[in-house]
Amino acid sequence: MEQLITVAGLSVWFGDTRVLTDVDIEFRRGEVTALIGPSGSGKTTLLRSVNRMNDLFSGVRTEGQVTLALGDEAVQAYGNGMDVALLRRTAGMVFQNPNVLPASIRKNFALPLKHVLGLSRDEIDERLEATLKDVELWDDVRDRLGDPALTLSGGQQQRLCFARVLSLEPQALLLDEPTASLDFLATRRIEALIERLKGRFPILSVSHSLGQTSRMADRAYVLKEGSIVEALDRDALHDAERLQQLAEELF
Amino acid sequence: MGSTDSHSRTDALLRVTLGTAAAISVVAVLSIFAFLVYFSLPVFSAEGARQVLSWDWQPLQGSFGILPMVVGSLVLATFAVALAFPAAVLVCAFAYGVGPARLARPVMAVINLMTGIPTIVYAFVAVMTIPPLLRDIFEQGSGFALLGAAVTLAVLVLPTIVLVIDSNWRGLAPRTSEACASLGMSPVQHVFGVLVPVSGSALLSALVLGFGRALGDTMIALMLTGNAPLLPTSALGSIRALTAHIGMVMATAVGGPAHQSVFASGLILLLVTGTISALVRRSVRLEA
Amino acid sequence: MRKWRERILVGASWVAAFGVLAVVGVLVVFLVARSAHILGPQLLFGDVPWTRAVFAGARVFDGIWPAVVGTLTLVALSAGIAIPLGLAAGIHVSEYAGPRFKASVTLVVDVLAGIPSIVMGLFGFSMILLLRRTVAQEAKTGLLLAAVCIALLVLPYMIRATQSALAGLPMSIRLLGPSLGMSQTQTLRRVLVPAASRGILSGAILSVGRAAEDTAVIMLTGAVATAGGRGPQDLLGKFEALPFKIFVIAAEHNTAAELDQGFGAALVLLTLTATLFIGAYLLQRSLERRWNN
Repeated sequence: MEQLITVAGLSVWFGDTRVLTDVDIEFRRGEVTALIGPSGSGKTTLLRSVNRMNDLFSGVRTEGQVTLALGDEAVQAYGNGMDVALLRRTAGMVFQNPNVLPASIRKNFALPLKHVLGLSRDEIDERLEATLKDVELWDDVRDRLGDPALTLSGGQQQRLCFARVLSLEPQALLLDEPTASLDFLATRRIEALIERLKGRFPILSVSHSLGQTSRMADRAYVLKEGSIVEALDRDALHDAERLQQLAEELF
Repeated sequence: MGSTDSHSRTDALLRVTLGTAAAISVVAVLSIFAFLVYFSLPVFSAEGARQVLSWDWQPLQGSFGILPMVVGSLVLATFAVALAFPAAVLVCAFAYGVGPARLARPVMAVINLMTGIPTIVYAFVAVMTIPPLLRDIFEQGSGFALLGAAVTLAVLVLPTIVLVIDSNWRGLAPRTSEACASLGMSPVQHVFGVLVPVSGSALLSALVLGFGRALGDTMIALMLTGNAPLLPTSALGSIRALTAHIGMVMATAVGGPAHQSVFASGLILLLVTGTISALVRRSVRLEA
Repeated sequence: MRKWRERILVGASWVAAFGVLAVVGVLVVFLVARSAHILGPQLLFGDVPWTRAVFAGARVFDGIWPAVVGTLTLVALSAGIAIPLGLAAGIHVSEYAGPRFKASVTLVVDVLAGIPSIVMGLFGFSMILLLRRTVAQEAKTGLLLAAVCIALLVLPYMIRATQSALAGLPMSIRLLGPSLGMSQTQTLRRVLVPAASRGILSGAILSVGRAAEDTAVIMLTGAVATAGGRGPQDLLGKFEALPFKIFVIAAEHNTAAELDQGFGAALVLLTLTATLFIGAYLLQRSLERRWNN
């Protein structure tokens, strides 16, 4: 069954400033869909409108539709009666700067799992182990789950964030420049992780680097000043000349 | 060359002057200890200790025990903090997401303003309103009781506790709230499920600091407890705090064992609050 | 199950927040309501014409003017001691002190800040006792003693405010003086202290407010219910003060008129400290905003 998220006619205002205009995109399971564009073009706003994280800012107005076809029925993210907390679990988000909680590694999982899903201690431990193995962090941390999460390296912290999101059993992933704050090696590991995950969920990723996009993405939307100006498929993304042109136009 | 010399002389002079000022503050605290110890010396003898560390305060009959007042102070301060601390956490929860965002600032502004209300004003308003109220509600006693004093004291120390928690959460919450929102946690879950557990040591410091403040108050205890030098038996009973005891005795007798009991009381207070300050304030400053 | 617990917590938070607002509101309204009708010259001066009381030293026995003057005098004296002393000590700790001295002073300041005011008053009294036993057998408590004790009480505020104001200065400001060839004295005088002035001033204002409201210290160091119907006449004499006046009225009022006076005095004192406090708070906020930009 196809898993697809569609954004249609999306416009977003912060106060009087229009940040996104009539955006149409879609992303599906089996692919990594990237958002590229100069800074300030609205990439992050677009990403955050899928799980309604923009709602946290005051003075925000959103029009348009975000449709999640992930199960038996299609769901409107901005529909009446949408349970926003559930939406945010369904579309899990990883941020540019790893936002581990200032607590132990175990607590980083236990607190959300306990409060959001009401899991028991054993269930938490199970999920913890499973997702940490998923992101290949288990061996590094299995003996020090009680240590503060902030003692992990940047790359490890980011993988922890991935694991944490995965432990909530999402059905889509939203990534906001997930490797922007990481070094080369850590970046590669995360890219490999994303590659493994794309078969399980639709993935929408804001990218800061054309190189990374070319390596990883199956499809990309180019944003400029709040509008989609181009959609690139896999072939276009591997066309070096095309990318060069794009880089000059955008940056 | 000449001007450099005079500059370095000025520099040296300034340094010495400033250093003296700093030294004065150190000397001042040491003298406070020294004086209190000196004047409580009689208490340190076996006879003195026996007199002062007893459970009866009846000066006319030669009993100068301050233990009921020690217990009274501890019970009063504990009661006050038991009321104020949970309330303070709830107020902070309100300001940090449980309540609407636009109410957070006004609520904290009022809390801040409360620290500008003189203790004597709290005590005065309380003494005019609470004892009659208690007399009406409970139909017994004079209305001057542990309960009234504890409630008033709780109002006094609540802002202190709130502001300590706030200064800790202010640095913490921005990091945690976005993460928790993206994980599908509600503001309540964020505050009580994450913020509170993660800030445990700051909460403890706030509690202890509030306790110290409650212990050190004189006017509310003096005006609202009834000042009976008895062990606390019920919330509606009258007790006497150590601070109020000092005030009362100094207002009347001069010299003799009554006086010594007062200095011993002062020394006890100084030691307890000094310890609290030394331990807690440092960790509070570190967190801030 | 969880939902139900969460709802209780939400409800309790609302109750706590609005409960606190209500308490403050009721307190202020109550105070204003009870004292509104006597606010005016009579509250301060009784039946004595105000010009005579203020300028000619006429005695006022049924107004709170002597207490107001007493408080103002006390505050001026104690601030006059504590502000320069605290400023100097704070500068030293921030700019000159080695780590060990710094730690000692910080500890001392913390302890000083936590000392109950009645204990401070006891200390003041004990100094008089010592004087009586040694050099000055006739020593008595009075204005100067009270001012010194209050100065000690508020010293921590001043030292901390100075310290933190200086510590909060950005590196660029710190390097300015030396880069222009200024000596340390000049740098302090012309660059650092002026730059930190808002925070320091805020601390000074807080100290003044704290000095004005204290009751327990002055209770033991010379405050009396009536001292001749005028402001303090000499440094070693007894004096009246607003907080103590309020206390005495609460404890010993006989008539409704006296009680009203108490409410009026409480409102006057509250207005005084609240204004000072708001001033200090606004200064502090504007300082923070300035350096955060």
